Amino acid sequence: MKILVPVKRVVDANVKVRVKADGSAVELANVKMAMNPFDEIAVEEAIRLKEAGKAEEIIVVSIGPQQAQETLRTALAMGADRAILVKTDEQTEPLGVAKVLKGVVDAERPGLVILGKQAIDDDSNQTGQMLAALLGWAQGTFASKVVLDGDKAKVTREVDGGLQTVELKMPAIVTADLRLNQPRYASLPNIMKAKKKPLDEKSPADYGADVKPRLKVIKTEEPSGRKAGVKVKSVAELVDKLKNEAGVL
Amino acid sequence: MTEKYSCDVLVVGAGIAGAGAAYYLSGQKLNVIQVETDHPASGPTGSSSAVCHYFYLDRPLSLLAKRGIEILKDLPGAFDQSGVLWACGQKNEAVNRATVERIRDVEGSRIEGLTGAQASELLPHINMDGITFAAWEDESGHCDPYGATNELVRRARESGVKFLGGRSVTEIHVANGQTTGVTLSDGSTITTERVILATGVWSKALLSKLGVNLPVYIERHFMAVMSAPGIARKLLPHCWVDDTYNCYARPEGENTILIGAWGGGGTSVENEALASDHHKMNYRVDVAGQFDRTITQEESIWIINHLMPRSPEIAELGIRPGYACQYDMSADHVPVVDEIPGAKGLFVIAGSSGHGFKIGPAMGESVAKWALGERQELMEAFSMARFA
Repeated sequence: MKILVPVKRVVDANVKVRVKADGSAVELANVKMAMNPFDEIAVEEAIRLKEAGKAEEIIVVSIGPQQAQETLRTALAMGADRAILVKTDEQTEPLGVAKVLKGVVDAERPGLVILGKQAIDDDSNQTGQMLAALLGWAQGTFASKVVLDGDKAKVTREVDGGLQTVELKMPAIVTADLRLNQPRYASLPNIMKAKKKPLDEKSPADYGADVKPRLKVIKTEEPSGRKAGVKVKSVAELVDKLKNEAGVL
Repeated sequence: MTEKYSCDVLVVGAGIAGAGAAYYLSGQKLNVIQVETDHPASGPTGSSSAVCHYFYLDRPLSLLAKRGIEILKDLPGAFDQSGVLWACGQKNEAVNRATVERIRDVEGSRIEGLTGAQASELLPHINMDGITFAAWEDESGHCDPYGATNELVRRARESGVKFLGGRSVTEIHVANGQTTGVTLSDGSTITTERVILATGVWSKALLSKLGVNLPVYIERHFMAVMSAPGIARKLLPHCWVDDTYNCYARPEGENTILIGAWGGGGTSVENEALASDHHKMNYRVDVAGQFDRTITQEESIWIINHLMPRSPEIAELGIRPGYACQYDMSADHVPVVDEIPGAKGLFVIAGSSGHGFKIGPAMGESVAKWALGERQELMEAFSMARFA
């Protein structure tokens, strides 16, 4: 079985993001980029399934600019076998990405697609679900545990009320939540080996997918700054402020 | 809200040196204020590798390290007595041996000289090929720089030092050759005749307003961080410093190993080719605080390659994100500490050139004593006049 893992290049989680002066978008110039952390978890899960003998090949795919190659190399260094870069300089949206991924799935015929539950840049949380709909496949989203058994996948999902376990008929879509696993760090020898692993370059048109944006961003704003605190003189004053200023009592 | 404060001594900065100064002064029954832009250890102190050893070719640095380590060891939980092994090849053997003898016999610090074979017994996962001599400090080690600095500041505050956080000094006032006070970023003023600028990389910009050209500059240095879940202490039980490949490494907890590299100064370097590379990799920072704290994969690999010949086992571990910090450099890699000429009562601690953490508590203490009128012979080695 092949496992397909889509990965996205996003602003590094350790970078403090800033909005462009004109409010059009987040500033990306000279900002450190990295693999979306949820996608790292997806890559790790695929590698563990392969190590457990449940899969033969892991293909990673990224839809984005030329530099997304670095993100793919990171996944290859972690242990993926080969990579596909679907190159586009368009600002991609979940539906466009899902359409490209459907094309990749049709071409590669994986038994399982594991994605991050969402990307930390736009927090859309849609791509996995849209891909499942386009393919007509079963989906297990927000996975904290994945167990494969024959042509069935048992996925434990993190839902509001606790944990829910669903059984999916494969081929299926799984989206990874934070607690699914702790991704490994690529080592120097594996980074070197990854440079020699195959990386194909494609375009959205190769998969017959239209990735033109359909959404219009009206405004991008930074969260408002935190106001300075004050010292209260008595419990009575504190209670008064909680009641009348904060409105929480 | 602007305020008018006054004090006997003002300490500017709450890195390790400022923390050391405030801690010493808190025991002197004086009115002391400490000002900090952010929070204690928020600057270079917090991202120090904090390896603490006596081994320095320069005697003043060894002595400051001795006192610094003494202060750090008194802070509960901050010091890890992991031991420091400092190895060299034939090229540096004579100098390093003489240095060990000086530190042990004259300065009375705990250090001994080992052969390469003895060094191998201490660090079996390091290949000691070509190592002819190693300085071994069994009771030295590494520190939690953040915890130690905060504990010093906490003790100082507990003993009455007034701590003004979230504010920086924007102007220093001098009248007729005597320091008279400062203005803060919130408009408040502090009237005082003694100011200790423990402001490291920020000192140059601050003093340039007084027409003083402090002979220091800033470099961006960085560390690689290796993932060694459960085996960090097995692979590297002690701090390791290697003159032959200009490399150092230390365990961080049970799951992580830090690796750094250095280009020389204050300590010896055998490999000139590697040293020249350092000037390219550790580029200059023009404005204090404005630099990239994250590091690239290439930068991690560059550091790791310094350790590869000695320990493929460690160098081939998973690579976690590394981090960069600012080094406050002087031309001879020795600190610049002085009372500013023409500004009586204004003292600066800068140019620590990568040695700042271990000597910081003692440097702060010495300058505090100096500010109170006690002559500090050791500080003469750090005078600005040496560059004139």
